[in-house]
Amino acid sequence: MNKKTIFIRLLLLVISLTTMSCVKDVDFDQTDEIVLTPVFEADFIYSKINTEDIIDIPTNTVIPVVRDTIAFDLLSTDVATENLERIELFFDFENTIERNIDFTFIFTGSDFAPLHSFTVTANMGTNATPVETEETEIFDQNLINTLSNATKIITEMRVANTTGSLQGELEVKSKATYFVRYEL
Amino acid sequence: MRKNIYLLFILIANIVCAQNKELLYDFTDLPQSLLLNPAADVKMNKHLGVPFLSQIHANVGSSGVSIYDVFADDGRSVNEKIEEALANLSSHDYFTVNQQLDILNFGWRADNDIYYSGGIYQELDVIGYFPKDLAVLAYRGNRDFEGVPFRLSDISATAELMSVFHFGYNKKVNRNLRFGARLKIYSSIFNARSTRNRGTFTTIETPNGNNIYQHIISGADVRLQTAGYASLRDIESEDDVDGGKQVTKKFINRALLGGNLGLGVDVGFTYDIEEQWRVTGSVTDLGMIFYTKDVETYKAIGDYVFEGLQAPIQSEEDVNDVLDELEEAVSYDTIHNSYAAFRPMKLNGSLKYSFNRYSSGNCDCYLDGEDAPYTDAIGGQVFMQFRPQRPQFALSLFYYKRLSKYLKAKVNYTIDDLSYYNVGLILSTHIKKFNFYISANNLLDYSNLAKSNGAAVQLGFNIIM
Repeated sequence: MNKKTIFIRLLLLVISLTTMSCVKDVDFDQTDEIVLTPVFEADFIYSKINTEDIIDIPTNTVIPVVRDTIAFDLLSTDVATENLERIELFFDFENTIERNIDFTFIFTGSDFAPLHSFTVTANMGTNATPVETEETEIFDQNLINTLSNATKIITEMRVANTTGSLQGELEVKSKATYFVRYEL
Repeated sequence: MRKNIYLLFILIANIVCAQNKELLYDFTDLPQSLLLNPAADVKMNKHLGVPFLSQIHANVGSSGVSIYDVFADDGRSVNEKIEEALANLSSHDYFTVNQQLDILNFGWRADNDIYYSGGIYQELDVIGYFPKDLAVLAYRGNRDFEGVPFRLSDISATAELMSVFHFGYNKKVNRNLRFGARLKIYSSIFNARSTRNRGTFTTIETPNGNNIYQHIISGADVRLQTAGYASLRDIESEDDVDGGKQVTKKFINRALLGGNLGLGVDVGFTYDIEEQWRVTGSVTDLGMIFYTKDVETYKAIGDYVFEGLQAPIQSEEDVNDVLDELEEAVSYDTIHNSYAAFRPMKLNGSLKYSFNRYSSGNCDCYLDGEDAPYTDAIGGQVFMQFRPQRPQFALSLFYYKRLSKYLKAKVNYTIDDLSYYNVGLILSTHIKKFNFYISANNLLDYSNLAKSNGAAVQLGFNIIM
């Protein structure tokens, strides 16, 4: 084999390697199947409620409703409504007040018109031993879409009008678990 | 989005290689070797690179994961393979793009035997480290990571587009030693960098706390420095063509010393220990760029603890707003302070043993006037480049062969971050005064680039006299 032939063959080898290299045994259509499913947990609301918070001292009567407003526009973006598969709100109550206490959460738009509401109850405790109650509220995709216009949550706390003692404390802890499903 | 991913992987598949130009280093038949060691022992009297075609170099590399790792057609779920890749990758793994285009390259030997060379080249250099912790947070969420800090320091990336004006000389100091130096003026077209970030995000369970968890942003200090971006963002144009023209005009202006300027040097040596043994070394891109024009830095600094919303609060006027609190605690600012950044300095070295002495009639290996007496050489090379997180290293063994006066070749076997079996080949043809060279590395992976973490292609045309 003469030098010219060697030269030409080597040159062709390099050129062919660099220009005709291939990508094989791969399937880029699998991109369609890529799904991100992270699960995020974040604290929701908390509170420590003493009897002073629910009794009108001058009249020594139970305040029927304690109300509060929380700014909430987490679900207002397309990213949230398109990719949130489910939300679970978990509540953990520890109650030593001898009354059932209802918490109602009302999701509203900026005009305060209700979009959705739910109520969870802290079971009545005993003065000696706290009673623990756990409740979970699940928001599915339809509800998440409904709440895309929500900007506020009104929280209402109602103390059951019974004869139990008004001594004690109610501790509220809660978290939200966000189940994301993001398809490329 | 999907098209972009395809394009990205096709790009990787076709021009993947290592940053290191191990094949060109000390390949003294080519004037481009002077850009890697200004003291390269070049023998030519003059050279002129074909404008825009004397060196076309592009590389993309990805350490830790290949296309095959994720997209293998093996019947397994792609999500399972992504999980595996995510587990295998570390925050030291990186994705890099480096591209160079010689616009002008020339040189001549003066009467005093000093070889002067100069030119202009354009360079794009991007490196992004895999933000492991944040990727895990995005891919899996925080639910299974109570007490595990997600490090914001994993965000580490730089991108630079610039032109370089250079001029150097190469002088034989004594019988054994050759010294070379090159002065460089950098004209940055665009720069973005986010390095040395600090802080963590942690979710901890708090049985005795106010709520179930505390979500803690601790010591956050995250910055993105940009130069040459703000004015592009502010371009207002009614149509894309006009907008594109305005961007091009700005880029050309900045490339022609109208950008943020910097200064750098390359220095090197070639030392003949004895007739057949040679050692070389060089430091290139020892310099920095001063970013004073069109500078914008975005920064977020602070600490924040979130433990939910306190409700009910017995005042109807109070409205909890987490985002307001967060913005107050972790302040986000845009500032316009100048900054300076070092170029990614590179070190090269080699030890070479030449053999197969040429004697007339044995082969036809030399052009008239050449004095190289050996047709073959073997040796080793080292390469190191400084990068934001840590230096990158490469070790090579090489075999050089002058096949004829028309054709010179070199084969390298290289170990680096990307591969332990990187074999490369450079061929340089010299037909009269016309020179063409082409090189490729990671040749063993060319049969299926999907499995490769790196490969390289480089080519160019010169007139050499």
